[in-house]
Amino acid sequence: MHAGADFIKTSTGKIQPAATLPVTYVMLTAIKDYYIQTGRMIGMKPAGGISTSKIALQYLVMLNEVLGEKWMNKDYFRFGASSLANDILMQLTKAKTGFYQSDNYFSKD
Amino acid sequence: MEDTTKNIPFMAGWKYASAPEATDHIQIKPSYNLFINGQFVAPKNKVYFETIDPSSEEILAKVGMADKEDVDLAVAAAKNAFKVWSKIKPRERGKYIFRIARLIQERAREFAVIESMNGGKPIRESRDIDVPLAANHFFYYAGWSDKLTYAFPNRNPVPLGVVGQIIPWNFPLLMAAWKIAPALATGNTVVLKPAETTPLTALKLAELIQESGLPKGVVNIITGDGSTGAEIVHHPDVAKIAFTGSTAVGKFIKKATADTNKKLSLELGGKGANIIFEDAALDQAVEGIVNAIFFNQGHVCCAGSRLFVQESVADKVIQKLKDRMSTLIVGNPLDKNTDIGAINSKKQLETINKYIALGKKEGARIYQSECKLPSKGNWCAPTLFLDVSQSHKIVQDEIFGPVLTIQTFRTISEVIEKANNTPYGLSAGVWTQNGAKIFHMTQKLNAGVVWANTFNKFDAASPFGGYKESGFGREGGLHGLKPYLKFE
Amino acid sequence: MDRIDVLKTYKLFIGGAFPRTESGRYEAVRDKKGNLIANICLASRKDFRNAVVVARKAQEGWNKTTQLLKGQVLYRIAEMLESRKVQFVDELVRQGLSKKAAEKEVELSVDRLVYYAGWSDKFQQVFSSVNPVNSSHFNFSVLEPMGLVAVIAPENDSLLGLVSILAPAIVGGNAVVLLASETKPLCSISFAEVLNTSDVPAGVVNILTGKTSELIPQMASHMDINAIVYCGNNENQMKKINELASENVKRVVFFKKQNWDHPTDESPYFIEKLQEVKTTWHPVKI
Repeated sequence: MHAGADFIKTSTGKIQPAATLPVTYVMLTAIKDYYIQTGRMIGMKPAGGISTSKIALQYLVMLNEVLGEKWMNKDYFRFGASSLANDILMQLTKAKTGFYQSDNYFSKD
Repeated sequence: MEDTTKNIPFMAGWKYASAPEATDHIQIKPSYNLFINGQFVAPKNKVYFETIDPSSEEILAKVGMADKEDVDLAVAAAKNAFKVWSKIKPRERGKYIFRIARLIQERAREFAVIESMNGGKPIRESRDIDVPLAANHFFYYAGWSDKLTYAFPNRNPVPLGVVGQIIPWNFPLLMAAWKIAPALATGNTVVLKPAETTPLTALKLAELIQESGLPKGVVNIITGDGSTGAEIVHHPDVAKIAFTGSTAVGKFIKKATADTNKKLSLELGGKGANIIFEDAALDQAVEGIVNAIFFNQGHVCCAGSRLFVQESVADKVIQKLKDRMSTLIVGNPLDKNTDIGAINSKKQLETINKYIALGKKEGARIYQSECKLPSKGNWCAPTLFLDVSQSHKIVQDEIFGPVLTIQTFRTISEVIEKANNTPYGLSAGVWTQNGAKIFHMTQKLNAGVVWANTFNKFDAASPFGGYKESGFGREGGLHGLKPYLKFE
Repeated sequence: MDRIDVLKTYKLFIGGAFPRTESGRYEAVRDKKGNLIANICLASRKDFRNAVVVARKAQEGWNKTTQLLKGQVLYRIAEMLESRKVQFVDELVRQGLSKKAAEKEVELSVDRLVYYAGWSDKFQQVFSSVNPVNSSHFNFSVLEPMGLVAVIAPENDSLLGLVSILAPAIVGGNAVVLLASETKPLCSISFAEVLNTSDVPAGVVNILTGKTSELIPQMASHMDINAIVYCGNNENQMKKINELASENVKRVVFFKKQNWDHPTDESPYFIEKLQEVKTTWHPVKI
């Protein structure tokens, strides 16, 4: 951040373990401390292992409580998670129909 | 020090949808009798009193008001049962207690919900702390039943007889477990009185004990108020009184039993010092401060209600603390999002408010988090007092609410002196990454429990209890057996 | 005859699974009248080696669990054993015990498990110490499990003896590879089924059936075994174990007693026998 980064992210999802809640928490508090020092907002991107809506929600709750609403948008927070999108679609469909979904009905690209 | 909270942009933006714990699976009867000699019997005087949900002020049930006659019956039942219970093989005694532990585990959710409804504590705490710890306590002491000679080698430990146990309203089920489990494991029989405002989980425990097949009269649970407790204290057939509650009542009990052979153990008030050194992990320490004072609405005898922060990091810690407080959710105890529930009773709320007014009057600077409080019920916003000194009443007295006083210090000897400068001696907290400092502090602090880089941790295997006016005797662990035994 | 019984295949218990012996060898166990009860696996040294590998892995995780949890798991084993009492009584009777003796053995086994469940979070409180050293240090000694324990289970009391050795070993955080009673092996494998439904992590307990004489040298010499418990009184076997154990200074524990039904056959000292003592020094002066 001191070298001018606009975004910081965890390692890619290609190695294990990648993003975890504790690691992300540390990075969010670093962003917070840096903001207090400099007044500059840095974005955050946790990546790897965030494959379900439920886990994603836990990250969002953490973001909400550590950095607050100014960071709650695409400019300052992103998930690096290729398989998350389909799960969100499944959950949305479940919310609409009331039926638990199967991944056979959602295209994988 | 400037109050800069308003300028901080980190306010949580998204509000959480409420996530209340379901109540449809729990069973509360409209009215409860006294549990004496294995049966639920009406109080002799036919007097009942209402018990409410402090968050909504709704009436949950009526419970019996035991008077002298009922206490006599309960003590007689316990005395009679002692003949049987003290003769049962210790191993089989243990099996009954294991059974109680298992039954609590099976019905944990029901107990948690009722605990939150009747006491006002957040469901997260009753679900994750009170109820599991209660079950663990029974599990732990069950195992001691047939192993007492290993705890006290070369002595012959024998039970005392009938023990009278009077418990507070801040951890109703957990305190019942802390009292009943070691008493049973050591072969005593019990007359227990839950607090006036929180009788329901103890009565549910009575139902569970009835179902467990425990011989009748071994545990008797009678509800009532202070006068009921006094009858237990004065009863000549009670061999021991175990009391958890205020120091004032503790002193009364000590005096009342002065000319008797009654054995006593007292777990009384506290005004715990929570000490943050400059070399602490500060974010972790802030979580610790929050846990120390806002856990269970601050209704905790070992709460870290006096915060001492080393001067060099004071501004930073206080700012972080205020930020953290802004995310605390005060409200419906049954909502899984809730951090701070309802104040246990109107009376306690009045006490807390009295102290808050006094703090202001004494010239301390108050800070309260801007949280929305429900319109109905008993509530108190998380509160800090800055600019306080040892001479302030709010620093000296146990407030028993979510109110934290903050002082700064420069040197280690200064903070030790201030931390010990109190009639209480129940708990203390130390936050530093320096191990030697931790052990130095644990040697110097006059407190029965010292937490290092953590706070408000409890475990069935760990003794708990105070120095000085915080009482005597230990509960939990091997040491928790001793108050229930005599040695021949 | 309306229906014929479905007989149980008795296999080994390794890593939470029930494999047949890799050697393919077996021995028939017969009742008094000579009827076949079961074909029991004769485990080979390779079966033993495989068990050691999984037990070593499992021990680390098992040791890390809290003592409270270990106690709950042992209590769970007791619950499962109690609920299968009839099966075990039946098995013991088929191997020659009277019904009364069989019932007593199963009941004592259940109670013994409960007894050690109770010790889970207490033995440390009895055996550890804070040592008042002559300098400003906080000095304390705690027990830690030896690690991987090989057990040659008692020949008699094929269930109670096995439980009496196994429970104190695992409650202290060890993992075990156990060779069952050679002459009465049935209960050991049925007990493995109990373990397998009692939240005991896979690999913490591994049970082999087979020839004591054949496997003892393997168990005593394996360099990744920390301790060996031998129940029996064959002087030659004990000498052999002592000799081979010296290779990696294995801890050796002998129990010469034949029966395990006496009140003194349970004790926290049986836990302590399979523990090391670790002392920590920490400065107090600042």
